[in-house]
Amino acid sequence: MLEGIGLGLRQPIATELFAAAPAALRWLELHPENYLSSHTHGTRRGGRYASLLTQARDRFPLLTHGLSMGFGSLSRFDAAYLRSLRSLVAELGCPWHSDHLCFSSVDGVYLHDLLPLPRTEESIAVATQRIVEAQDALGVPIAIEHISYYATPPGSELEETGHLREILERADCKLLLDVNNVFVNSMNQGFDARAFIDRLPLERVVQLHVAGHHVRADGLRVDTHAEPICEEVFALFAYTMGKLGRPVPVLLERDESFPPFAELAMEAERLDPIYRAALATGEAGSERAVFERGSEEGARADELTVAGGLSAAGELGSRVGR
Amino acid sequence: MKLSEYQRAMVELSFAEREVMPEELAAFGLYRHMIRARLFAMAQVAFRRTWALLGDEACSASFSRYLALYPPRSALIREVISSFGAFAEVDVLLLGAGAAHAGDLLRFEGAKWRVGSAPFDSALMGAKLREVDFDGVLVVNPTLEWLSLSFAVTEESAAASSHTLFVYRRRDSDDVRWYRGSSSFAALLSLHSSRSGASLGSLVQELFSSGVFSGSDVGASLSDLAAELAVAVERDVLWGVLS
Repeated sequence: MLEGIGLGLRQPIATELFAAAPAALRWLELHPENYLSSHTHGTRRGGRYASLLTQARDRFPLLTHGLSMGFGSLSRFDAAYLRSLRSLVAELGCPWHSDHLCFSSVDGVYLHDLLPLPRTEESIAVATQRIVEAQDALGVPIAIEHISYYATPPGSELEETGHLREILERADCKLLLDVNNVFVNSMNQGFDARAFIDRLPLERVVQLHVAGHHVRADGLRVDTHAEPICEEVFALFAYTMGKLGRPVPVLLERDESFPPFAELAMEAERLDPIYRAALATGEAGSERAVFERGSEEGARADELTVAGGLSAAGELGSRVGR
Repeated sequence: MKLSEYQRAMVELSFAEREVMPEELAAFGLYRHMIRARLFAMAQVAFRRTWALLGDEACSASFSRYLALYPPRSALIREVISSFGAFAEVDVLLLGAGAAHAGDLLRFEGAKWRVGSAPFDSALMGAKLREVDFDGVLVVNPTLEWLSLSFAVTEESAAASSHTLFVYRRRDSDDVRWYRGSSSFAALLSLHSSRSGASLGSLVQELFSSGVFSGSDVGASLSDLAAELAVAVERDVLWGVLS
């Protein structure tokens, strides 16, 4: 059974990951877009990424997490991409494939980012149709990940959990619950993160994501995956695990500004006892595990958060206005 | 607002080359910023030396024109960056005021970017090959791209020098390599690409007929070509000949 702590397969950490994986590490997640070749030809990418995939497959169970399907997109998915993806998912033996509840393309133009959907009946209908199409084409269940967002699209009529629940039910699909996204959105949009999780159909959750985020000078939290997990997200992870009370794969997402691998490994090792405690004792036990470890490592984690934030701000700031 | 109207408005906001209104920035400006920042950052990685040569302002302006004229049509971000190379090669606003070798450097960096991800042909990988002989059909490394250049852009000095550069990946390494071939080797490979299934011997004969070796010692030329074929096999530019 695929469960426990996982890491994203990323080129900057791959050598150390294969040489000295943290003891807690059970599986890896990969973005299919990094391994598939041109959609038109439906072939595999060559070079470094092909080597990475081979090495990863020999060492760990793998899960696929896409970046380009965007279930709120109006156009149908590219058939060649679906064929390539189906073949990859089958070859890796993935029990499901996940991608985002958002839109990332329209009229054949790709934005290469995850944009929020208006929370309307129209977007529910579109997303439901796309998810059903994807499930049929891939031959495995789809898990949808709710995204972090920084603006609410015009015309939104529904509350986020209501919109999400409706799509999950109509498409009869799974949920990838991103704890960091819930926290970031709760801070930016002003809602209670725990109440949000309480309103989700947790029986549909098959996977969790946990990550760090950047806090801008104006207080806006940006889901960068370039910083360590903050204490509040550790706590929300414990709360979520306590509510779930069953084993699921939990991904520590890190995509940029990689720290020395030992630090990333320690972060993964810190998630594991919280996860195990929730399975053993339920909500109270897992939250206690956070605070016991947090008191030892909190000061160091705070320093790293500040450093990561400054770095991310510098990179973002240099490109403002383009 | 319909879903389609909202989504098209976001595409326009992200890629159009125009003044962004303050009210747009307030609501969705962060998305324009994030979408563009990701693409710009990747273009700078792919075209690192070109960016350094021509400057951030000129390259960013060219990339901005590219996004406005050709918004990304591929779900694979690396292909969006590849296409920028083709756009920039003919972007006179970018190259017009730059160093003479800027165009060659762009082509070289573009080829490196593409070759880094090019797949090996699985049928060829499994094919039985033997050492080069004139009866066999040449098997060229399927990742190979060749560039006719006027400057030696693989070197920092980038001195003027007309030559053909072959960019490729070896089977035993993920690193991108390049090989500067002679004019007769380039002519041979060019002919090979247009004569499917022709033996090496017949290609060489055609080269003689077309006058590629005229005006020189034919025996020496043939000997040089044979030596170069051996080097090309050793470097994995050529894989051998089909049995």
